[in-house]
Amino acid sequence: MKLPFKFSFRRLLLVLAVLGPGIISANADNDAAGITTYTVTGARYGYKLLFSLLIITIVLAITQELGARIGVISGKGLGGVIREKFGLKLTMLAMGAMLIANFGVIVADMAGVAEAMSLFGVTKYLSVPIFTVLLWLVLYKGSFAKAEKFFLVLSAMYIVYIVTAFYTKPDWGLALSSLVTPHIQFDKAYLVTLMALIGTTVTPWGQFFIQSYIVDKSTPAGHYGFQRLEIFFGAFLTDFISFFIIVTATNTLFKNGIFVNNASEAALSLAPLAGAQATSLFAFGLLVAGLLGVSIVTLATAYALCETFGFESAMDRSWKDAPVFYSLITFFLVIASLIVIIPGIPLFPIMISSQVINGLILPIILVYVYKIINDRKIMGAYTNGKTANFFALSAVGLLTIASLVVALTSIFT
Amino acid sequence: MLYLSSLLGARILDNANVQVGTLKDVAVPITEAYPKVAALVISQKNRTETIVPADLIELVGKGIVTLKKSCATLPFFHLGPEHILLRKSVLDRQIVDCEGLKVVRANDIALGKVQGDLSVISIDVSILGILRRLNLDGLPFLNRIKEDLVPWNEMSLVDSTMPELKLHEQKNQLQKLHPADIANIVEELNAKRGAAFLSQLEPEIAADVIEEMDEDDQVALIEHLDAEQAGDILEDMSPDQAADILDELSDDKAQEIIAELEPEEGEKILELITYDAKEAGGLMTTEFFSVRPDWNVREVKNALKGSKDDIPTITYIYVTEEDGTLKGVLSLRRLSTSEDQKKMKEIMSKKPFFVSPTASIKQIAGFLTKYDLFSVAVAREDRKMLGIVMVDDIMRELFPEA
Repeated sequence: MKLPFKFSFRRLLLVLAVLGPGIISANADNDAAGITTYTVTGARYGYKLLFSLLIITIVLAITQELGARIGVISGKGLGGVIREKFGLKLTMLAMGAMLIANFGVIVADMAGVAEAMSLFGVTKYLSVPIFTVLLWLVLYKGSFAKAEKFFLVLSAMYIVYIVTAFYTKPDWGLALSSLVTPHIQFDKAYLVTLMALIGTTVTPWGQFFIQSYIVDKSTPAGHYGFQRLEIFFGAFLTDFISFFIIVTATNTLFKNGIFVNNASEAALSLAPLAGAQATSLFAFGLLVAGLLGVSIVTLATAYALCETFGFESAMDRSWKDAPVFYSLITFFLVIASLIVIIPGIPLFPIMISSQVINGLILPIILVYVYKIINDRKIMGAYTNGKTANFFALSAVGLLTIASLVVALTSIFT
Repeated sequence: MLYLSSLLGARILDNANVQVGTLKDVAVPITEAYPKVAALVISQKNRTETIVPADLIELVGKGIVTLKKSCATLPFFHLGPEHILLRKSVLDRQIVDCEGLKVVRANDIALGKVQGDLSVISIDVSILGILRRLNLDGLPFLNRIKEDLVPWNEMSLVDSTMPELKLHEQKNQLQKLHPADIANIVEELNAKRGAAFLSQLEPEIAADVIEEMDEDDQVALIEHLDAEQAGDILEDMSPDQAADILDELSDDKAQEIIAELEPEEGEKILELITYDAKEAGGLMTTEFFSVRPDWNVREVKNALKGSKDDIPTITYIYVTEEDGTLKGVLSLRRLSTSEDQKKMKEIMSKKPFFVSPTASIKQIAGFLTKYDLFSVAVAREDRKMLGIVMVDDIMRELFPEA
C-alpha cells in the first residue's frame, strides 16, 4: 500500500531534530577554563601545539559517541545505568567523583564570568550575584525547549573568537600546516600544556551530559546514524573554535613575547596589538563561555544525581514536583558564586585546579562507560566491536596518561 | 522490619550448622499482592549457584539464615515464569509508585511476616534506604528523614523483565488508574522507555493513555513501539487521532504500521490522512450516528440506546443509504417529538447541509454560524458521507490556547 503522504521536508527535519546534544556539549567544552588554556597555549608555544587539536577531536568524538550510544540504546542516563549494573556502592564512588569534578567546573566557570565582567569594568560583587539570579531563572523558569534555544544562542556567540582571530591578521597558511605537523618537545612544561589541552576538552560531566541529553531527546535507534554525525560535528566544532583562540593568542601575545597567565590578562594585552574591539570581543566570549559552562554543568549534575537516586528531574516541572532537582540547582549556583565572591580569592588557580581534578576523575568515569558499552545485556547489537574497542581503549589510555601527567606535575610544581 | 539489603550476603547454614553458601537473591511470584518468598538463590563456595525452596527456612537472623534440612539433601527449586528475582530485577531499578503517581527508584525492599510466611511488603524509595545500605543509617541527624515506603501491590516495574507476563496478569494497580494518570507517569519517562512501558498494557488501555497526551509525545511514543503493537493501539484510538499521529510519523514507520492495521480500520484511517489537518477532512471525526431512510422512529430510538460510547455527542441524526450516501438529517428534538411509526424519510429534512472535505476552517465556521448548527456533515460531491465536524473541533483550532 502506498501512502498518500506529503513528505517533502522529512529528511531535513530529521537532521534538524537531532541538532543539539553534540553542538551544545561541544561548545560547553570550551568553557572559561578551556579558553584560558587555549590562550595560555598560544601565548607560550604559538602554533606548535596546534597538531594536538586533531587528536583531541578524535578522542572527544570517540568518548562522546560512546555516551550517546548508551543513551540511545538503554534510554537511561549514565548514572541510572551505572546504578543498575554496578550496584549502590560502586555507584556512590562514581557519583561522588562526578560531583567533585563537576562542582569544580561550576566554580571555575563562575570565576570566568567574574573575570569577563571585570574586563568590562564591573566588579565581581555585582556581576556574580546578577548572573547567578539570571541563570537560576533560566534553569528554573525555562522549559527544556527554551533553555535549549538559550544554549544554542550562546553557542552561536562563539563566533566572536573567529572574528577576533581575523583582527590579528594571522598567517593562515602556516596555521593550517601546523595543524598536521606534529611537534614534540621533551620538556615538562610543554608536555603538561599538551595534556591540559586534552583534559580541558574531554570531561566527566561531558559524558553525563551527552547521555542525559540524548535520553531526553529520545532519538530512535533507527535515527542513530544522524545523531552520530551530529556528535562528530560537535567534536569538530569544539576544536574548530579552539583553533581560532590559539591562533589569536599566537599572533598577538606569542609574537610579541608577552607572557600571560590567564584569559583576562590575554584580553587586556590584545588592545594595543589588535585594537580595543579585540579585547571586548574576547571578554564577551569569555563571559558566554562561563555562562554556558555554569548552566550546562549545573544541569547535568542535578540530572545525574536525581536520576541515580530516584528523584524527579525535568526542566518543565514546578519546585513542588521536583524539589530535590531544583534544590540541587540552587545549591550549586549559590555555593559556587559565594566561593567566587570571597574577597581576594585568586580566580586563576581555581580554574586550573578544577581542570586537574577533572582530568584525574575522567578515567574513573570512562572505565564505567567502557564496561557498559561492552555489556551485551544493555547494549544488545550495539555493543562495541573489536575495532571500536581498540579505539575506545586507546582513547581511554591516552586520557589516563594525560590526567596522570597533569596531576603529578601539578603536585610537584 | 526486615530489609533485603540486610539479608543479601547472609550466611546460609543447614540443620547441622554447616555453611551452604551465601544469599545471592530472593525469588517471589509477581502475581500475588504481598508475594510470599518462594525461593532463595544461594551462591556456593565453588562459585556455583543453587536455588532452594523458601519453606525450608528455619530461622532468619542477623546475617544468618538457617535451613531445616541437611545440605546433602537440599531439593532444587525451579523458577517459573511468574517468579521475579528481587535483587536482579527490582532492587536499584526504577519503579512506578501507583499511589503517588511518580517514577522512583527501589533503594531497598522491606519484608515481613504475612499470615506466618516471609513476604515482600513494600519498597523503600527514601534516602534512608540508601544510607542503610551504606551502613550510615546510625548517624544522629538522620532520624528527621522520613521513610518513604511504596506498598508492593501499589508498584509497577518500569522495565519489564518478563515480557511474557503482561501487567494485567500481575497483581497490579496500574490497570485501575485513570488513563490520564498513567499518561503522566509515561511522560516522566523518555519516549523509548515510555513506549516499552505502554506495550505492557492492553492495547485499549494504551490507546486511552495515548489519547490523553499531546501530539508530540504521541508521535514520539508510537515511533518507539514496534509496528504490530503500534497498529493494535492505533486501531483502538479514534480514527482521526490515529490519522494525525500517522501523518506526523516518519515515512518508513508509518508504512510499517499501516501494513499491520486491520483492513477495515486501516481504510478509515487512510482516508483521513489524505486531508490536511486544517480542512474539514482533517478535522472531522468518522464516528457518527447514521440510520437508514426506511427505519421508523422506534427503531432509531433503540439504535440510539445501543450506540457505542465512542460516538461523540449526538445532536443530529444523519440518514444515509447503505453505501453511505447522505439522504437527509433530523434533530434529536424532531425525533423525540415524532410518532413511533413514522419513517425517517417522512420526517427528515431532505436537503441536508454538508461541507466538502476540503472546506477550510473559516468556511466551516461561517457555515455553522450562518445556519446555527452544532455540527455539520462532511460529504464528497457524490454525497457520500465521510464524517462530521463539530463546533468544538473548530473552537479548538481557533483558540488553541484555551
